[in-house]
Amino acid sequence: MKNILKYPIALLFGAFVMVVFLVDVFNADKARSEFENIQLAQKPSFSWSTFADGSFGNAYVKYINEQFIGRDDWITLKASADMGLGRTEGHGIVYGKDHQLLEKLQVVDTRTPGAGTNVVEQKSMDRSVNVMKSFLSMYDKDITFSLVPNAYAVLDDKVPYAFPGVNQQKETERIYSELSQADDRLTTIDFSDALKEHADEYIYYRTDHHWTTLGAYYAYVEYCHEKGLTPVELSELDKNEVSDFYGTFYSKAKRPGQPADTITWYDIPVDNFAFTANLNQDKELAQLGTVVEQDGMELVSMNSLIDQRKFAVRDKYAAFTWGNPGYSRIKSSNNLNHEEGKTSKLLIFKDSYANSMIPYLTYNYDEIVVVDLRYLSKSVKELMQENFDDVFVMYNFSTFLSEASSLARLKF
Amino acid sequence: MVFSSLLFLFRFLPITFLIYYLVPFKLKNTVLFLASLFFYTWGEPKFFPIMLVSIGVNYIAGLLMEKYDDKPKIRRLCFWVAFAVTVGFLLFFKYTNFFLSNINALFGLGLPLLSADEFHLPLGISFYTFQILAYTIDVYKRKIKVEHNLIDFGAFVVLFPQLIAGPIVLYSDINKELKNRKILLEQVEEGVGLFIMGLGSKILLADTIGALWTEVQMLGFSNVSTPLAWLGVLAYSFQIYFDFSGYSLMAIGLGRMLGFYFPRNFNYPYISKSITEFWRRWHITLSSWFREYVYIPLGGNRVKKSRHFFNLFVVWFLTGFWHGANWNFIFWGLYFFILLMIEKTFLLKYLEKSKIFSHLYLIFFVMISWAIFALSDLSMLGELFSRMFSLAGGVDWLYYLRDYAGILILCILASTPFFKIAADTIGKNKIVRTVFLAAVLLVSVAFMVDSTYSPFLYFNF
Repeated sequence: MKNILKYPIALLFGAFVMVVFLVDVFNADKARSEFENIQLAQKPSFSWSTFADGSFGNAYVKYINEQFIGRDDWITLKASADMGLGRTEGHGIVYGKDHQLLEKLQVVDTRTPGAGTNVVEQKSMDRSVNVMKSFLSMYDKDITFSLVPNAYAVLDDKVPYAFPGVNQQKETERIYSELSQADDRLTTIDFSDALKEHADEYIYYRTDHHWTTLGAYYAYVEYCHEKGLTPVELSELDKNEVSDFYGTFYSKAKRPGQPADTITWYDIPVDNFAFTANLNQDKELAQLGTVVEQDGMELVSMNSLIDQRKFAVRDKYAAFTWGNPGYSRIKSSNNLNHEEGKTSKLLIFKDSYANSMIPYLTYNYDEIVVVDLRYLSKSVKELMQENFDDVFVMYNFSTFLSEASSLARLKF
Repeated sequence: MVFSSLLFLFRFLPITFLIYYLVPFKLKNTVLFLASLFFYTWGEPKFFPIMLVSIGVNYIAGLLMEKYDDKPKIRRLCFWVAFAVTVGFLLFFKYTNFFLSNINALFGLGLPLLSADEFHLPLGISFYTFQILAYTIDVYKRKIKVEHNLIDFGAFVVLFPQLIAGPIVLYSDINKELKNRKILLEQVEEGVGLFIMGLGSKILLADTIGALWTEVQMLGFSNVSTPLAWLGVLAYSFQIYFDFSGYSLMAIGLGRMLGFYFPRNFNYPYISKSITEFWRRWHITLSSWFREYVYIPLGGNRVKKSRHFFNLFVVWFLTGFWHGANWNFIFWGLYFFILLMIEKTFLLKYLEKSKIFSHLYLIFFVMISWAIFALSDLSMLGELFSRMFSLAGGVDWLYYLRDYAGILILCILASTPFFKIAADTIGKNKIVRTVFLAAVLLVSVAFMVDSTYSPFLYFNF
């Protein structure tokens, strides 16, 4: 006891290192981290050959890091320390005004190793544009294209001074004009003005990279105007709310005191929503719906666009359109302009931003085929043979820049 | 293995120290030797034999030089064999590709280079090579007694605290402690404090401010404003200082916990008033090494003026080249040679009198030196300089200045004796001291864990 008072640092340090060491060694390993959404590294098995080539060493370091005791709490402590130091960003996420988190999307010539997913190379962006050009040149059809601006490009008031993100408006205009030159039948829709008009409303989640259901609605209205369609009124829809949503931005920059988001969703009836799914991974699906053979694929058929199970877990946005199926077909009787004997059809190539917008579109088309190119197992050429009234390509700006490889499936 | 990792802090450290403290004294060096070999081998076992050969050859050369004390030819042969083997490893691993690519460029040849995957630098080779050389040279010059115990000699060479990044410890610095040392709680108390401060320097300051430099580099020097280019170089200047001095401090602290007193390596270099003073305060053990084993053997300053000039040139050429196998490091060394010559000739006396100008002068020329040091690609360096010395406006720097303001203030304070003075005043209070060090340690661990944090979130983007 006398020694503790005399040499507190030596003894506390020794105790701390020992205790963490022992607890960490004997603490049971976890399989995955829901917060980080990764499978955690497991203890590598030792062999002289893997030791000699250094791979055991590397695997063991990864294992210790990912299974470290209280990992989530240490990361929260880091975020708190950052706050104390007055930092304005962490892991590529910037702390904007009113607890609005913003991704610092940057376009550079060469990424440095270890750069976050918020950094995209110029050549990757050029590749995406070129893929779109080839796609447009392949089909003699009216195609509509839209890049949805991310939060920082719309919520000017929330963005810190001299924010170094890429100028989305300027780049979007450049991409639109380049694509329009390549195909004069292309229609481009710019949602920025429509969204900026409502910048003081809750149109982007504070803790997530998506727009809210309200933001998606304003874009939907703009789409309808451009297409000469009548948008459904929000007041006519049956509104529901789910609170306590912490999205992907928060997972990266989880500063204490961050208020949660609320997800709004509308109970929109559909006759049938059939989508591709991994039935082995999600065994419940087969019971919730029926497995059908349709459009040359095995699909799960539901009568709802919302996977309500997801509202109970961390990744709540995945409720919309049951996540991101590679292929899905929505049939409904909602169409406000339905013509007897005619089935109007929309084909949409999209990323997850569209998931909260698609339900509204059922009020304007009898059938909607939704394609997420990242998970599509069918050929686009085959899909395009069907007779669609409209073909709509909609990506959020950030995904469009970095998804050249999946966008390339447009050509096959 | 590096100190600033969870593996070191929560596996290697507790196991090694527990065994080290528990075994009787005569086994302590054996534990140190084996633990250090493990530390060295971890992750790169293929270089294990090189370490054993380096230790073995110099150990035997020492014994033989002693045995044939009266046979100068045999002694000289032993010395040169050991010298050639030791320097040979360093030249081969560190400089082969530099020489090959320059020969290729000069004569238009296409000699194949060594594959970077196979032949990267063995851990700490630049440092332990200098330690072994100093030992063998001193034995040859009969300045020190030969080490007869292989374990003790091996422990000296591969001692894990200073293996990776110095300080360069001479055999004569620790030979007494190798044979007989006390390990008191008092030393451990002090050692832990130094270690934590070193850890904080490395993780909280160097790594954090280093991200700013990395980002400026990634944006491209042509795409940033002039103030942001300067801010980037300032960030790098802090990064390199706190990284390097942090490692040295951790090494000194760990040494103290083991019962060794390693020499000081940094003494607030950024508060110097001249480049001459800067090099008395920066990486002190390296400068002493070059003075002792290159400059003085060449004749030092007790020679003709032109020869003295040449001696200094050689020292600074080698100092630069030691830091890296690339032209920019050589330029970096010669840059200091020129500045030191200018100061020696006339400037120094004015600088020492001045109160403010001399500090600005030092910071300016040191920052320029780090720009040269940082960029091996000379065209990039040209791009950076043209941005630093031409006015390109923009507000981008305001965002970064605001983001990093807190860290920059900490870096500035930590570059001065601020924390030392605080430790000697309010830090005398055991509670204040303990709470402060505990906070630095906990936050450092948090930063360490966080640096391995790269959530995969874009599956549903």
